[in-house]
Amino acid sequence: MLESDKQIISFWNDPDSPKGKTLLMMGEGFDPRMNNVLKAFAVAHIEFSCLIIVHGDRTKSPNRKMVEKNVEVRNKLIADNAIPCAEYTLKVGEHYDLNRGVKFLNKEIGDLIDGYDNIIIDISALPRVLYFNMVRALWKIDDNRNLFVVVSENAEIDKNIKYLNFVDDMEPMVKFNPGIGLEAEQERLRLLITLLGENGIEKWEMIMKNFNPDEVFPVIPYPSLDPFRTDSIIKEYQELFKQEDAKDNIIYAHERNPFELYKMLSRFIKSEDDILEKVNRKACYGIALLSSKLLSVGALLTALENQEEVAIYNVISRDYGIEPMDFEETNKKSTTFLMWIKGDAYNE
Amino acid sequence: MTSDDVFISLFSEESLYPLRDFSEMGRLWGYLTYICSAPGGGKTTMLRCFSPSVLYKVHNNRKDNDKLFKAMKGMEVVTAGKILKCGAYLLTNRSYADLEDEEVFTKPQARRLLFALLNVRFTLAAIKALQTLTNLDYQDLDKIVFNPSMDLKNRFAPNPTPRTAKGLFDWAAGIERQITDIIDTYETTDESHGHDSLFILNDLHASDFTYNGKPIAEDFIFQLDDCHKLSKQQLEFLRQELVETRVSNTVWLAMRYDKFSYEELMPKTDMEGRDFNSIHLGLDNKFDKMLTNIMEKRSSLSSHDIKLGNSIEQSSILTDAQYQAVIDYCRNDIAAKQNLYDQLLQYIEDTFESIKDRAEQTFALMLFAQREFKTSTPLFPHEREYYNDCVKKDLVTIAQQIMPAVFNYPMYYGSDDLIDLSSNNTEQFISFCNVLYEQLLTQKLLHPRKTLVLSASQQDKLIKEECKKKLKRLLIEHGKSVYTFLNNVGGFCKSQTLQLGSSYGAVNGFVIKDVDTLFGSTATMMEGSKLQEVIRVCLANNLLFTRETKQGEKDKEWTVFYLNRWICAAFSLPLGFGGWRKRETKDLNEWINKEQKWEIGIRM
Repeated sequence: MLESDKQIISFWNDPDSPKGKTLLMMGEGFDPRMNNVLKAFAVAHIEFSCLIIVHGDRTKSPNRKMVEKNVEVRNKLIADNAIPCAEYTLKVGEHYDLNRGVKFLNKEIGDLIDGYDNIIIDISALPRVLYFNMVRALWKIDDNRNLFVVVSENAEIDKNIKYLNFVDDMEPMVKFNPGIGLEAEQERLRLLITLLGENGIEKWEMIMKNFNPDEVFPVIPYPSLDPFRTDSIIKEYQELFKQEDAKDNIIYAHERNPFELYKMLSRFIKSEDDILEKVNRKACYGIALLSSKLLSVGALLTALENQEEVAIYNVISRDYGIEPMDFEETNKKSTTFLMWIKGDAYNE
Repeated sequence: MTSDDVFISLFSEESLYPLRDFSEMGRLWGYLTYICSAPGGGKTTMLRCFSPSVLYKVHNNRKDNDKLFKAMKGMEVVTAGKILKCGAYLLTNRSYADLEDEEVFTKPQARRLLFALLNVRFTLAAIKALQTLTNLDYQDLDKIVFNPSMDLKNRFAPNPTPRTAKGLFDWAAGIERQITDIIDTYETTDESHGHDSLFILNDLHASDFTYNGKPIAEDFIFQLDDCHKLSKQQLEFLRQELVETRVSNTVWLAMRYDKFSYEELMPKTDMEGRDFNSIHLGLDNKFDKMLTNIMEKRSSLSSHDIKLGNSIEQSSILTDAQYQAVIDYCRNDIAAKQNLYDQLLQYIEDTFESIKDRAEQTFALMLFAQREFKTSTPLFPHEREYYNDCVKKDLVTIAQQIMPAVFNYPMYYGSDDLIDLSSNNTEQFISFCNVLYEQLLTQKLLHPRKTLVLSASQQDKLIKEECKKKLKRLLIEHGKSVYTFLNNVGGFCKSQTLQLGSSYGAVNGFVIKDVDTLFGSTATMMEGSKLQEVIRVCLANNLLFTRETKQGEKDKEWTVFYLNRWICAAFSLPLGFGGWRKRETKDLNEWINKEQKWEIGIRM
């Protein structure tokens, strides 16, 4: 994993860097971090093509002005640096159903990446359901391509974005469901691992209702850049910590290291499975995504390796409330992280 | 205690009255019944009562659950010796709606896949019900023999008909997995995938299954919850299958009730009673009795010996000083009106003995004076003998209604208000009870020897705080449009209610002036608009509810959209029904987009 634009650029310009054609897949939205990665790559004159995943009608967005501003900046970056660029519009249908769009994308993603050797998915402006499925689909393709996930992280911006107007059908994420909701599902012990983050208490309540866990395991981002972050998160989720088992089951995960989280969760799942096997029982693990996108990559990797047992829970919101702040100034403090998920690094 | 035990101990057998009525008429078993209510109105609770685990407990511990057992026995669900009927429960989820995507599935494909999915899921639910009643693991399901009374050879071809519950389970599980995969991947299938009818609902009978040579139960009750999530087309397929082919099993379809979805989704009413039953929970006064029963049951389960009904003040007694404040305020206001009402004020002093009556009468007189001054200043002082012509009874009623809101005196207290605040929603009722209960518990822990009483003003404060919290949550749950709209409706109603000079009592609803009937032929005026979407969300989530009323030329019928009672409490509005105002769609559209500033008459 690489941290900061500087490290990423020097990695990409290194003679041992991945060879071949590179495709950067990115989303668009109101988030000011949308163009950070594109800008870093363009400025460093890295040779790549760009595929923009359009997942909504920007003219109907409640934050239209912010989206339009981001799009304008992006278009200028692409034009000024002559980056070959294409657009893919997600087939969300008239009801703006992201799940529908994701199912079509899963079918078509193979064609979209045809001819490229290195795929970088910039998740900074992509909804979770989208990048989880994109990574999954590319992970499943049996080839030698290199797959990277890149994200521009900024806890302060995250804190100021409020999720509103939830889609009320709470079910595990498309393609990350090990049979929950199937009538034929046999009884399994249900363990909920919740990646805690700011502004997620209502989402957590919805997930609890659907998953109905036998035991809960809160994951607290610690260590954290902000020494008081852990305290304020525990305060926000006091309802969760009222449950007796929650206090005993806290898992601490470094807020900036998704690979560490992945290792911890994988170990946890294995040890639980081993114990349950002895009493002839099985478990189903729900992972609730309330944390940063960076940390969610740890959950994604865990789910990919434990597909028969792990369900990913993510509440889709149709609207965002943004607390007034100087986005441009705050965005300057964002940090880019690049994670190598599949390919040459793992082949030897 | 397991969750089923808790459920049974909290369940009020009163809730079963609509089913009991149909059972007594001989029209429940072997029929299709629609069960409708607002969200939280008790549909799922009613269905759960017939779940195998609950019936098993009620049957085996009949002494402890005497009332519920008798109610079930009366409906021929159980006898002293055995369980006769048990529910096979399904919850509608996203997968059904996904079948409606015309870009992916043709209509015949979608119909065949829907039927297949329902067939196999009902089969699985039915076998799980038997599993619960026999306490068997999946591995032991082959001990349950399946001997179908109907010839099912063609249904399972080319495979032989399963002979055990396990065989049947595996057959159904395989098809369920196959179809959900198709839905998940949008992989198109050939037309032959799926089933051409809902044959399971006709051909699968509980009596076809035996364990140790004995039948486990006689009949299944096939229950499909949250049917409003199915499309109109899918519900129509269901109706055709269930009504037109006269299914022999009992089928209950539970759905949310709101005017939009009901008229859109339900079959024509002339078929009701002949081809199907429909139950609307919460539309009669038996619901209130049920809520009282729930409150008592929950209290009796409390380990802290707190009886909620006995521990909350049922009336609000204001102090003399508080009434005097009302009188002083009104007298000041009237005094500014050139002594025109002096005789009437004197009449009040001379006639009404209690300070409460005097305060109410003086407030009503102030309303009268303000109304009069709004049109034209009277030329002569009013004489005392005409007092009753001036301060009429309805004006006094209005004064009684709005006085607490104006002077910030307790408005919401006692069991009746708790029931009113629930707006036919059991969950809502329980959430308010919980708030009061928690406060009582705190009091008890702090002052164990003191008499446990929650005063009217304490209740009022807690309820208003809870309602404001709930209102704030609407922003997160339903987004800015719904939140802004309801805030504007609340603000508008409050401004109408408390504009003293022109107040005609409590206003807590609106009608849409330029849409004759919102759901009739002119509905196209709003078709696809943001307003329609917002109103749809409000109705579906019981934030608004409708009542029909006649008024104006030739008794023109209007649909009044009332605020849910808890939203009234968030705006300190009286809970009584009646008051509404007409507004045009353009006004309502503005209410969605921007929070308006509302003039709120006077405030103390």
